Amino acid sequence: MAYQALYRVYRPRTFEQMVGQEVITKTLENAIEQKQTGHAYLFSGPRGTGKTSAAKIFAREVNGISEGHANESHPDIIEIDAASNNGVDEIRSIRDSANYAPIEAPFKIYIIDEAHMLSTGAFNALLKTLEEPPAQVKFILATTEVQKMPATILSRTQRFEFKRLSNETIKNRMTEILHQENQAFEDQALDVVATAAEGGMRDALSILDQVIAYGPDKITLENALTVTGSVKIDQLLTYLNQVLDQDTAAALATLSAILLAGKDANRFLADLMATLRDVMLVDLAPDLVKATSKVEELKAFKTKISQDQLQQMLVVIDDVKTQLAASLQSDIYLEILTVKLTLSDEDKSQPVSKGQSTQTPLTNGATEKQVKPTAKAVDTDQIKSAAVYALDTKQDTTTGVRVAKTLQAQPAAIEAANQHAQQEQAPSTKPEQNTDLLAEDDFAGEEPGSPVEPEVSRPVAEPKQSTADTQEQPAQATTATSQPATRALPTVYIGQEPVQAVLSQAKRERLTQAQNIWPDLVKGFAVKDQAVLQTVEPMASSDQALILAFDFPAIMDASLQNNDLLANLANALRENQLPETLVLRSKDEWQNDRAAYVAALRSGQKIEISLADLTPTVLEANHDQVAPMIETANQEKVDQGPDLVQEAKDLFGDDLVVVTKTDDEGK
Amino acid sequence: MTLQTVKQQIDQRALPSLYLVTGNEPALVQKAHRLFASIIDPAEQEMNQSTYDFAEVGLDPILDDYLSAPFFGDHRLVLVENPTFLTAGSKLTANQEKALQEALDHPVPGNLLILFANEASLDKRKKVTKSILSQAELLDLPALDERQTRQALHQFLDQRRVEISQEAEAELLLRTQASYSKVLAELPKLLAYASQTKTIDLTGVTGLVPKESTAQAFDLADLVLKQKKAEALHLYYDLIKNGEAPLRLNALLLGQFRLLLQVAGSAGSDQSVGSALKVHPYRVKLARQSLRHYRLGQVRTGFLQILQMEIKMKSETVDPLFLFENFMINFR
Repeated sequence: MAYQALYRVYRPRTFEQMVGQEVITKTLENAIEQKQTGHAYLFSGPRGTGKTSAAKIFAREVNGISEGHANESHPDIIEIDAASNNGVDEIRSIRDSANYAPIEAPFKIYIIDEAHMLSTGAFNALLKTLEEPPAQVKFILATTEVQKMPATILSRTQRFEFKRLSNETIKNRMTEILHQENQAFEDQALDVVATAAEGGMRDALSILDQVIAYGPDKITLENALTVTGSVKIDQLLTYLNQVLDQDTAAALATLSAILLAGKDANRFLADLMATLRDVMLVDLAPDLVKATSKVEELKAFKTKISQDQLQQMLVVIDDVKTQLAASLQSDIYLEILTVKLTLSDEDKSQPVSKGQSTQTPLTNGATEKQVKPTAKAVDTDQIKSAAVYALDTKQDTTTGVRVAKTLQAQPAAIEAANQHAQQEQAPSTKPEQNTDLLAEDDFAGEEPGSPVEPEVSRPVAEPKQSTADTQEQPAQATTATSQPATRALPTVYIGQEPVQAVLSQAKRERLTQAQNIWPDLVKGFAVKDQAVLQTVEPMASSDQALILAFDFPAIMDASLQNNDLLANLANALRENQLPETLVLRSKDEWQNDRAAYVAALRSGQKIEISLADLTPTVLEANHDQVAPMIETANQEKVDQGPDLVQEAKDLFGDDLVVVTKTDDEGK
Repeated sequence: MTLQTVKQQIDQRALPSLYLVTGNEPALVQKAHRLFASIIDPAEQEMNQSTYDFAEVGLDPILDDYLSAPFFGDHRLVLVENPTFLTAGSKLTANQEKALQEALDHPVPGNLLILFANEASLDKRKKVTKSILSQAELLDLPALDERQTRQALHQFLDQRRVEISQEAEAELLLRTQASYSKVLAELPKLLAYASQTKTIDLTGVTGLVPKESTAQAFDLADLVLKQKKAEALHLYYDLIKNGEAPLRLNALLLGQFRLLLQVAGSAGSDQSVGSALKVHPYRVKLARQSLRHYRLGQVRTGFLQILQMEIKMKSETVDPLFLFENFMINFR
């Protein structure tokens, strides 16, 4: 006899032989026994769960045909594949033929497979028949996509939903079959096959067939893996492990090996994501993991990587995937990806979730600028906290590239920094810290869209971050405190609370005064600053502080970085007897804040926030100058300070960049 | 009037010439159909009973039939589906209207005209609607509420001496959204299942009564909010396996979260909130129950994240499954 596929040989012939659908088979059997069968059934469920088998068995048993005749066709059991007979005409002919009495059996039974493929017209034609079928006729519709069936059909049928088979059920059935076949097998191989089958018995047996064909002597785990295509994950795991160990060189080598083997770049990224997904799921839902054979490896990997890191890797991969779509140089992108991934793992000790990472640098950046000592007194504590803060910020900078890029955006900041350098005795530590920090500031400026969150007014907002750096903090703090004050910068607040504080003590005449003077005051500035200040309006004022609203949040952020501008502004305000303390807000935010304030007042709530209770965001951070470049030293192990100065000069011209002294690279 | 009074009228052969059936409980409407059909002797049905779809045939054949005398019998039964001329949807010509009025005013003795308006909303300003409302026996069959459904279910099972366990009953009502018609449609299966044990248990209900995808979205939302991540992922997979489109699932999930937020924000009885939000009161009841266990902030975050997911699904070529996994794992 010619070879028959396993799933055909072992197709169930009785309800007892059907596995995994016990409730349904029992119900159908009972109905037949009690002669209380309905006239129309709908069997729905994923493929390979026994719908067609159940329909055939049901049809035979209703008609009392014995099991032995299972493979013979019967004139009163009519099977129609709706996929190829989906027209109105076919259904009409069914309708007509349904009116004739059955030939041999008590009932004439129509089995319509893939019923969802029927056309709308065919459904309507069927509807009438289903509604009032001749007494001797029964319909069984089988479909994998029940949601494509019209509701009118659903309501006229008894609907049975076949469930996906569990891996265990599939495995048991396979074991049974293999024993009958006298086929040797490894137990683990069956796990692999069962998972690959995704709940369908037919798929499971087909795969089993293939595995047997691959190595007829014994079903081995290895063969099962080969057939189901699960082997390739080895290389991916190696790659991911190397990335995680920050072994960039090895990871690149693995990458090139994978690419040399002819793997498509997009495919590689998809596989990478799939593997990371498996890692993500391995603890939660092990049976959903695709790479069943490597569960142990995945688990091991999972213990090495934090959830946030994983998320970050996914984000990076996703980015590269998008870029890849627009490029022909796929290999280069993959190499960059490798480097990016290894670098992004720097955060391992202190994972930053995505939401945080976009926000914190902004916050820090804003603060930092203001951490310059005022002319009168330097609050060491504040500087200390600012220094800690600055360190935090750096956690987000990873590549020198970004430093250079952002540098470009803020000439004024550099200038300011350099002015400080002239006057201050910086400790003999690495001067690159200075540029790095500046870069951080600018990095903040790169996100003009994000509104400044209220936390901004609390410099040490995130204790978690700060403490992560405790060991580095003392060095920073001491160097920072050693900075003498030079230039008068205003005290600046951002956020909603300061606004409320000012509003609660606002004085109309103060505001009028400010508004009158403002245009003239602006004229006294350099042209480029005028351009900025013209978008700014005094909105409210108390005796202590002035609220300035910016048309564009981006400009506000940039101004926060611009020490020169702020210092000049403070001067001008002082000359005009206006409060020097500033609360900066974008116009939109201001509107909201004011509305909130008014609403609070109306509701009888008394607002008792005083500016003194709030920590100002701006204190000058001179440690721009000073703090050692711990991060850069750690990360890149390259001293790139001189280059940066040179770069700054290249970018802004020699007259703008005044580099004065510092101990190790005096100028 | 109710089906009970109709039955009495039939028993006493005190039949009016015009019935108007309204209401949205299909099972009861079916029952009314059968009841009316019982007026005519089965042997005569071929000649003396006919059903018309007004939307298909128009008024004229209906009136012709109604105005003909019964053929060897006492009654002639004319059943009309879709009487859209009673709604704002369609209109009769002046002649037709006149003919109809004439027929109603002078019916052929023994003839019955039965209009099944069911769910259609009648336009009560129309002259023809007014006159029919005033002349017809009104049979209103509104959807049974949860309590009535329960009662009807027990009655049905008692007659057949079958018991149902408490959790099975709860699950059955959940899966059918406490709709009497749906419960009734599921009962033949459940009775066959319980034909030996005479008890319907939870296994039977879960194995035999299919869940509607809205109900499943409800489950999914529940699992998501309860942080049962593995179960939620499994359910999502099963749904996808069953051919559900991820976008649709996402929409259902979003709808469920939205409902929770809406219900949380509205006061009043389940009925009134249900009609204001245009959802079944039973869903409102369930939403209220579950709201007791969730933090509102969490529901809100979930809602926004699911919204984000939808945007991503539509704008990027990301595997939707992956998006959901990612959402589920990070949602807290």
